[in-house]
Amino acid sequence: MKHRPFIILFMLLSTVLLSGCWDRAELQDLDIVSAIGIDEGSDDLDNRYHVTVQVINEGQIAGVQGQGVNGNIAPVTIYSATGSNVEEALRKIAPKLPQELFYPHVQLLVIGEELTRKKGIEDLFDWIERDTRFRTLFPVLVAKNSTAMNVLQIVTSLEPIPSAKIVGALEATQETWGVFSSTRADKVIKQLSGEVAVLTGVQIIGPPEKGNSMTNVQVIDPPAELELLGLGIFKRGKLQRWLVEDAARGAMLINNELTKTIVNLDCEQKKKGIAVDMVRSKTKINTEIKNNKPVFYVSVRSESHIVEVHCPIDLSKHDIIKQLEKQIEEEIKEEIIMAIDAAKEEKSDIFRFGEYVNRKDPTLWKEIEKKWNDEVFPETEVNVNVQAFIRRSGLRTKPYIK
Amino acid sequence: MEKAKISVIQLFAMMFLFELGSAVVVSLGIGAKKDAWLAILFGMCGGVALFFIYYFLFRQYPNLPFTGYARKIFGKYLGWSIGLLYTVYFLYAAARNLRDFGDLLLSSTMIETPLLAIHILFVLTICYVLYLGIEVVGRTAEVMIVILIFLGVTANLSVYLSGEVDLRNLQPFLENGWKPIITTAFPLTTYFPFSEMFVFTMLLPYLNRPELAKKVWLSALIVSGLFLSYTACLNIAVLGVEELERSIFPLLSTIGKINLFEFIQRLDAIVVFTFLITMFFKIAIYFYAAVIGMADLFKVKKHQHILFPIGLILIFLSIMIASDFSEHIEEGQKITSYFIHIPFHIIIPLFMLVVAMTRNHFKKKAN
Amino acid sequence: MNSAWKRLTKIHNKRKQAPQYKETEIKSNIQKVSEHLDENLKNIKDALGNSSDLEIREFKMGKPSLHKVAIIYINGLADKNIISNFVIERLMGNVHNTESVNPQSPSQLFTYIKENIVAVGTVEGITDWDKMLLSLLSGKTILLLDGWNQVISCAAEGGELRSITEPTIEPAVRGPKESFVESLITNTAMIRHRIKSPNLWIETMKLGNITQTDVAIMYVKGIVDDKLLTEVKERIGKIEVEEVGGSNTIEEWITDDTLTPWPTMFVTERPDVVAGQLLEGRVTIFVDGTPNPIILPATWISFFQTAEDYYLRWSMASFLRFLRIVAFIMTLFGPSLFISFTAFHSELIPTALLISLAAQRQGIPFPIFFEALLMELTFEVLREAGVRMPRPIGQAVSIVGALVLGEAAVAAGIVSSAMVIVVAGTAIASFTIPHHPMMDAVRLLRFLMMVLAASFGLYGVGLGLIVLVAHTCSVRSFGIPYLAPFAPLIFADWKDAFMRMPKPFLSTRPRLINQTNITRTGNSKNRGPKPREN
Repeated sequence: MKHRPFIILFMLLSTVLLSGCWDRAELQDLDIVSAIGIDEGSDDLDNRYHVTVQVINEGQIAGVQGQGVNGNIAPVTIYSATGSNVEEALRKIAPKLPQELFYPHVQLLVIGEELTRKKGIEDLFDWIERDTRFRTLFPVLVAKNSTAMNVLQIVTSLEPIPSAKIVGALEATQETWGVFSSTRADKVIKQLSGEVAVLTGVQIIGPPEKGNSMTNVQVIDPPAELELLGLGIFKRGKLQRWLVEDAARGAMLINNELTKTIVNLDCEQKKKGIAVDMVRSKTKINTEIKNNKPVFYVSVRSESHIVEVHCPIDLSKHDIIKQLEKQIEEEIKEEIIMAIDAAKEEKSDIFRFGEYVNRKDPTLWKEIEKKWNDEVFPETEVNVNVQAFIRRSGLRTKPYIK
Repeated sequence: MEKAKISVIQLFAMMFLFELGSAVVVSLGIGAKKDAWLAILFGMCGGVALFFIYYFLFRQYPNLPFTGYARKIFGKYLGWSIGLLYTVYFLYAAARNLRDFGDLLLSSTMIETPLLAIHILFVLTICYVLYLGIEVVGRTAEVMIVILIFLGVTANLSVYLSGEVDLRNLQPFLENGWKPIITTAFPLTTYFPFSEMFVFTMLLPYLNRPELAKKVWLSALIVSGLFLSYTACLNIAVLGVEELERSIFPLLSTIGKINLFEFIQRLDAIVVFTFLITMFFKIAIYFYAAVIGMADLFKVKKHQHILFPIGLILIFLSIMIASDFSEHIEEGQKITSYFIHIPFHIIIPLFMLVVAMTRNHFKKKAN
Repeated sequence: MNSAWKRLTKIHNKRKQAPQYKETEIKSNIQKVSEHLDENLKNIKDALGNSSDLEIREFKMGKPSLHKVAIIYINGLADKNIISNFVIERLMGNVHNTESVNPQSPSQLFTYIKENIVAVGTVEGITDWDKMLLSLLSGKTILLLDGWNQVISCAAEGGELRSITEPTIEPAVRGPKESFVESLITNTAMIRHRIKSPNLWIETMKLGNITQTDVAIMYVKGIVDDKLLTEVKERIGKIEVEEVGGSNTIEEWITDDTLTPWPTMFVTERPDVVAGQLLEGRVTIFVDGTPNPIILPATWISFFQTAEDYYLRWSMASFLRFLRIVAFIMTLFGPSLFISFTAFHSELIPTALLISLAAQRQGIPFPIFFEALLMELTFEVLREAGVRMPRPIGQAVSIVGALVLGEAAVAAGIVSSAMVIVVAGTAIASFTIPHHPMMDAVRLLRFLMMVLAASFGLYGVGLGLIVLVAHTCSVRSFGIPYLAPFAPLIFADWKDAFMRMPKPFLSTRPRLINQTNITRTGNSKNRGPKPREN
């Protein structure tokens, strides 16, 4: 009984407050944005960026009882606008849509190559971090030789949402092919707060205009497809050059981001006649300070097994396996050195070697920090040491060809 | 003073939750960069040292709250006004923490809700729980600490399993030498949150076994210190120092990195709940101290009678103290630490200690 | 003005007085039994208003047929066989040696009949008129003798009573298969059967000015806390009602806190539960006519324990308890969390799930809160309809409700299938809570949480949680904190709280309920077989 006045007051105040519902947003009133693309706008201040959003058409993705999936309606739609900053452009898009744009589920951010070369991306990411509506766990890609808008308007096969396809491809290639680092937004921001950054590229194969239609997926061999390609080296926010294939793989190896890949080896008759599946690899980087200069020792230890052989060799012999291991070691070493050389050429420490120096000798690092990328790093000695092991050769020892 | 008794475990739970308060979600001790965890541990040692001042005073007057023995030591009038100063300080601290809470909640999850609505609802909740008495607060703390442990374990496991923890972010140790660590630890981390436990001098008389007061206080201090230090380590290991320095709500960013099996992700709710629970106790205890202080000074029989008016003051104070979040933080770091914490947590208690000792000395001589 | 004020205050004062109940019924003008048989019979008839179930048999007893006697009983409450075989026949036929007593002295005859003739278990001489009426109305048979101002009341109660059946609300796969019935005596006997200790004490009293219902307090002397017992008796003593309809009347009168959603007393229909609780030091209140005695004090966790827990293996029992608590949390927070996640924090839902949810909600006219409210209310209506209907129709109701209505509502796009899943999941989870009062509490609290969620999202739910926990901490059941083994923390009692430890470990009684006699006899170290020699 003693609570009575209290409870009455509580209820009264609550009813007043509860009628608020300020932050409420019903699901049907949201347009879920699955990807954002940023392109070069024009040189005048009001239209600096051209921003594209890809909005999911939920009904087309998740078939609901009684509604069904209509094959003629695209699963996603894009809208774009220009503005002097990204948020402004996004706001300008809003009136074009029936509902409120909803950003937390952005899966992909694509940046046009022109923008990366002209304006640079150094100052482009603040809004992602600052705005609580964004998650920072989506990858950031660079549209190679194209615009972000073109990338976002390709209708993809097998996966209705194009951005989901790209993200899936990123994850799959990282596991089995190992060429592309998934450049997550938060890691990109971290890289950009230094001087140098690495981003993965995406490329349209085929004519982009053909991709912007449902007919693109109505044929068995789609005329326009998306493909992930190489790593772009950025310095002070501007794209310097692309690392592709082997060099890109080398860079991944150094950064310890590569877990599985295929390495091709030569056997006596055929060049690249043996395929080895690398299942595990680990890279260690050690630093030594010699004469006030850092020296790096990159040591890679990888385990693999043989998956395909095109020439008659007897894999039950330990010696042959040893020879193959030597080959892998050389192959990997070559890739790593390619990557390091490319980085040195661009005077960009994409491997974040500087941090190792800092950990080893903070005082030295403070001295050389300012001139690290431009002066010290290109001159630094990097030693590569690879240990490769072939553990087993599958279910067969010798191949059937003689 | 209520006629209530709280058990040792309840007091521990309250102290622990109080200490975590907002300290667990903000970038505590970031002035020491990568060695923030060490600064926190040093701050904890400072808290331990200060504790012995409060403990001596408590031993002299085990049945009185701080405002009570202020009058015993300084005499009726001076002691009364000092007591009043302290209750106003407690109210101000409650308002500051309420503002912290509201601002962080708004900038993290509820962008469009007005601050006032959040504050009113929160203060109403606090009033209700305090209306039920300190015993209920203690028991609630006991239940909530279990929920908190559950949330903490879930969050930690997820962070570790997502593979986001990179201990290399903590290296090199002592990157900038000892100086930034010491200057961060004294005064900043000592005051926030460790010497804030001063407010429990108002609650110690309720303890059912006063002989264990020292143990409870010290263990709560040390456990929470270790826990905060661990959290700082985790934040640095996951986010890196640069991001930590930039963010106002680092624990939320840390939890935001969780991604397990592409399905267990976006566990922000855990942080919000943790924050809600810990801040609830921090504000409630400050507020309670203010209320029973007032009740003691103005001879109100039941603290329930003045709960609502003071709650109203609390709401308005929390809105009025700053116009924006930056001002609020700056006020906290520059003004509150030096002009409020130092005199209220160190100088006056130390002075009281001296007076009490001299009095004892003369009393003994007289005997 | 002055007089008006006085009148007002007078009314006010009148209201403030303790409620006065009319005490007319059995209290009649007559105080004592009269010496004249005819007068007595007339008075009885008048008192009962010539009720048709009043049976009066007048006859003359003894060989010389000297004395007029009468037997009265209430038809249906008395056992006619006993009356004719052991009272009437003995009085009429076989009284040969009435000559040995002085026939002129009715007092001698009265004693003789009482001591030598009436062959039933209990006989009692009554002079008080009200007492006579009460025992008549309780089913006893009254023997009146002309010329003497006492009557004999013979215990020959009978009539139709429900027999002991299997428990329906708290069934157990293993364990006893009997449940309480309406008759107080049968119920107390069932407990006696289980606890053959002289320390099992029963105190009976009559409550209800009109109904005169028998209420029995049962406890085990030496185990029960005396303070608790006095408190219970004191609170029962304060009850002033006309009718005690069932145990819930008592419950609502003596409860600690009327404004709490939680049940503060435990109700059961199983004698084994009562026996177990008595041995933990609790008090049981039986009410005649109700097959559900009240056990007190009760704690929150006791509503998650079932009789079955003590018959299953401890591991399974513990798992089931854990499951029930999870189900409890699901019921309480399921719909509200769903509302707050979908309406306030869509960013926290995994993308794939969100797309599916958003697709389902396209075209649904209601905001999610109203959708949830609609579904929950529909569910409550269905449940109520199913309960009130006779069983065969009840099934039809549930089929129509669950399948047809649910399916059609989803197909018509009025509600989303995700909402149906949430509501149905919540409903099923709520059925696992074993005790109805707790289930009802959760059913109501769920709506409160939904309102909070609809207004403030997770923040509202969080505050609701804090308020709920604080409130629950403040509730007491007969002085015992409601969240007892958790807050205040009594770690020793955890062995039978969230989990049930094997029986040998349950060697102490709950701490707060028992202040003195905590240790149960028995030693967990003596359990199991001896180690083998070989």
